[in-house]
Amino acid sequence: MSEAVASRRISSHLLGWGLLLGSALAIAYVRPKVVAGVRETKLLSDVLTLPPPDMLVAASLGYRSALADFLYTTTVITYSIHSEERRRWEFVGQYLDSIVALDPHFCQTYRYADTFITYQPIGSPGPDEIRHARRLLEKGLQMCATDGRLWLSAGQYMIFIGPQFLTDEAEKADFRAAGAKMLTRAAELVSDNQNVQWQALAAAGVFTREGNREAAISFLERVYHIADDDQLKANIANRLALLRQEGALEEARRQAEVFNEMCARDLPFVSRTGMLVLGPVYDAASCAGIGRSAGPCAETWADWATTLRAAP
Amino acid sequence: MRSLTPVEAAVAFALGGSVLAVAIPEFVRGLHASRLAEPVDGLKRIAASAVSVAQDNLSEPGFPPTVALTPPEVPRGVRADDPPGAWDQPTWRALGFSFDHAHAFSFSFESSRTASLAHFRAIAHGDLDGDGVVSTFEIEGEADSTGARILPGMYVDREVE
Repeated sequence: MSEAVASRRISSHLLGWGLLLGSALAIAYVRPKVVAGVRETKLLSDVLTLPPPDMLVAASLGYRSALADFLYTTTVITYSIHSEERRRWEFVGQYLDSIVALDPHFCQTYRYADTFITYQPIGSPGPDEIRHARRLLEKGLQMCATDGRLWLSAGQYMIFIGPQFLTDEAEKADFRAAGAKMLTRAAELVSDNQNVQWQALAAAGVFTREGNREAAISFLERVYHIADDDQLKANIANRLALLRQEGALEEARRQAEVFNEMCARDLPFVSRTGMLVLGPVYDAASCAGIGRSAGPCAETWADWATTLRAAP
Repeated sequence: MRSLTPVEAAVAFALGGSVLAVAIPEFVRGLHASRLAEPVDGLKRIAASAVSVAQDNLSEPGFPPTVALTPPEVPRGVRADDPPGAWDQPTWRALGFSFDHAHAFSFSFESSRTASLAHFRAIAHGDLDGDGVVSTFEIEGEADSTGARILPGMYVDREVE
């Protein structure tokens, strides 16, 4: 081998190693600036890179669960990175929609849906986001119908968390009513966490405040029959007694009001005692089916009270 | 098969190095960050349970009593399993809060009460990078004779430590 060839080979090797070293140095020099630039760019806004859920299902080529797992992991990480950067993640709802479109029985998604949507690092969720969380939870309850923790979590969200971000009072009441029903279901489902039934008792309070005492009593009776905890049973028994007592008082008050109205309308000059002696107003023709019935057609006050109790 | 020339190796090294230089830190960051969902979801669960308990007895509104940090030592840079009975304290039982898997944050619950108003603060501390500096997440709620409620928002301090 001539000297010239050897020299060219050495030059070639030196050039190669030089390039290698230069590349390493260039990476070391450029990388921090590029990464900083990329991060600065990301700070400004997010871009939704997901196609619509139905297209995503087709694009998964049948690997729906795998893609749902991947998207769920991406969602958890992206949510956390937004928390680090103190930015709202406006597309979290779309990610969650995509996951449940791919794998509707992926219950973990529903358990975290309200947290991801409601508890963002800055700002408060708007009514639309709260409704979005509700839709996801309701879908989750259909898909994971035996998940007691999900029923409890959804019920608590509907009663205590969601309404505070809503403005319409009727919608708030609707949320609470739906939440109470979810808590009712949570209490009925078998769970390794006995505390679920204790916490679900909040549903009775919601029913009572709505004026739906019968629903509260019915709920408590159901929980009473399935509860194993003696302390819980005693608590429910006390509540039931109180509600029934309040119910009886309410019924007596209603009867008295109707009685007073009737006295004032029909025989205002007769005393209450006199009215009790006379008996309820009985419109014979109406009660025989001629014309429109004007009253309960009771012949005694006892019958009158029974008819009144049966009336809504 | 011929071996790579130094120029080819340099190009491959540059490309591979660039990809790894971006991917590895992002992966580690993502792994680190993914644990931030734990305190947010945990505090939301505690708060929802606390107002459930208070809502249950508005004639005498009150939250379960204060309970100290559980587990007492904030896990340092790891996800730790709890010692047996860690969540058996009555307040945690009343709130139905516990972990059945390894986790990275410690939680506490502070409860106070005046004649007409009860208040709670649930706190989570974590030390994800194990440097002894802890992050803090807090959520609050209150109850009076009109009802129990979670106060909007969550206080977060040094979440990246």
